[in-house]
Amino acid sequence: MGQIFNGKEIYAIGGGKGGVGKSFISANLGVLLAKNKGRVLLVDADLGGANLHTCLGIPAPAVTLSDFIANPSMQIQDAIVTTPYENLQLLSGGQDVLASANPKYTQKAKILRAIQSIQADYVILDLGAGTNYNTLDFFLIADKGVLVVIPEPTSVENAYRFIKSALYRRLSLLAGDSQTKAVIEKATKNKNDLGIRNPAELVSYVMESSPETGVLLREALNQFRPRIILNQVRSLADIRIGFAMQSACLKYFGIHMDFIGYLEVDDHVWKSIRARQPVVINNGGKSFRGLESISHNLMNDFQMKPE
Amino acid sequence: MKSQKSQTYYEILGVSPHASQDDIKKAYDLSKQTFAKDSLATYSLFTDTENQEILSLISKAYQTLFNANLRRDYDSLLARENKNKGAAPKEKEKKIKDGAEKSANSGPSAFAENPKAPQPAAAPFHPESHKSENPNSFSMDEFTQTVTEFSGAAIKKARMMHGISLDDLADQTKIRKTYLSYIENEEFTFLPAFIYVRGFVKLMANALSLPADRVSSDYMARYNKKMSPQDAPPTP
Repeated sequence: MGQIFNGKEIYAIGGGKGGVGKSFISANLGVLLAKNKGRVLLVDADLGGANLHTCLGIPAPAVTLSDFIANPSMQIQDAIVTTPYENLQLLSGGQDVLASANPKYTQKAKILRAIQSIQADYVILDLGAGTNYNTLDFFLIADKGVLVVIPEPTSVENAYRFIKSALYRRLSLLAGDSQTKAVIEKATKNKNDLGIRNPAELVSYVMESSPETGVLLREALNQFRPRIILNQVRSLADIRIGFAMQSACLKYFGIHMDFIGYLEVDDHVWKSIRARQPVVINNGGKSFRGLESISHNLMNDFQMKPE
Repeated sequence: MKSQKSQTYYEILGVSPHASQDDIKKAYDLSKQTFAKDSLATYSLFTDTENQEILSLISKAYQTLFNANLRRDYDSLLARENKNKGAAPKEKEKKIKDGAEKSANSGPSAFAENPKAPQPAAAPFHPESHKSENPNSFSMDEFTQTVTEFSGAAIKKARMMHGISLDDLADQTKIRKTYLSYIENEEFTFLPAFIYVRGFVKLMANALSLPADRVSSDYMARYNKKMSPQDAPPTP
């Protein structure tokens, strides 16, 4: 605590691919922020496949978002559990029921509203893999959306797919009229008969038929600023992939992406995961320093500088 | 991809206009890696052909910016363009190309054909500039010399010579159309405070390739004369 706080910040940790370290990074950022900055709520937004509790070394919570969805009289506070770490609470996503993995629109809206109303200084949303609308909507309500990427083709591809899906989802939610929505829907397909290959071309296309919506979309494009973290980095060349993706995003999507840090391959990490303890509980070590620098950059809107 | 053609060489390399030679070299090396064949960061976004085109543009940007002389020429070109937003884009392109080709040996490319007009959005403003070798700004210089005092009417005349409507000018300057019209008609009482009017007039002058300082000092003198002295602060 002790920090002047002006409002709650919501961070979403996603990335498309499974197994790249989203939950590991969410849990450790949560512990770090709770230790140094204020009240933190970790939300396991991997509905149906929640396991963030394991990263924190606690058993699966008895109450979860599934209960919150199922039970109209339940308050969101009642689904939140404490953790062994001061200032750090957990809202789990539920591991079972198919219904909770695919909430209806109204149920999802209820969750999103509840998350926004929660009393905390920081909310960290640990997203599931994939690019379904639930995941994208969690990503989009966050103040800052972060993608975790590892230096492998599949992960980079999935990250781009995630960025594109999230961006088109945002544009589609913004565009009020069904005509523009239909254009955006078409544009999401790689080979579409409108000849739209990327968001910038989509905006130009909409600008011609409906300038007012076009201006709105262009503004959204300018505001869209995902962050990326490179995980499991082994070399200097791996780190450069972060800058390269930044520059590719600008040229391809026309958006600015902040490369906010990397984590090296580190034996302490797998050991900590097996021990079901966050790696940052021990100060020092390259992963601790990496996570500290990531949280610093994330909070202050900083980014990495190429060496 | 995002319109490469509308980026400056600085934007292509992702460096600031004040970047040192060292920064430019580093940015160039990074860009080359980013768009290299089989680059992890780009293979799924761009085709080989697109990568080639981007690389060739990157190399032209580098060759221009890394050479102190070529960079100076390019900078003054950019500065002039920013001043006369959109005036004579053809001439600008030609100069940029000439400058780059002095040292560039890369082949032609769809992207490099058209290295960016820094203010491409303004280009439709001056359709006539495409027709003649004489850039529009030349006739504006001539016009400026014939004007003894930049009144609202003179500003309006300049606008007519550009062949643009009040709506276009409002778009370009982001000043409300009604204000533009009050300024041209010297309906001072409907306008906001002195300091705003002066700012508007300068923006209009820039958009019309007129000497902003002279236009604003002429115009604001007329404003002061007409408005009662207690309403108007002295011209600084």
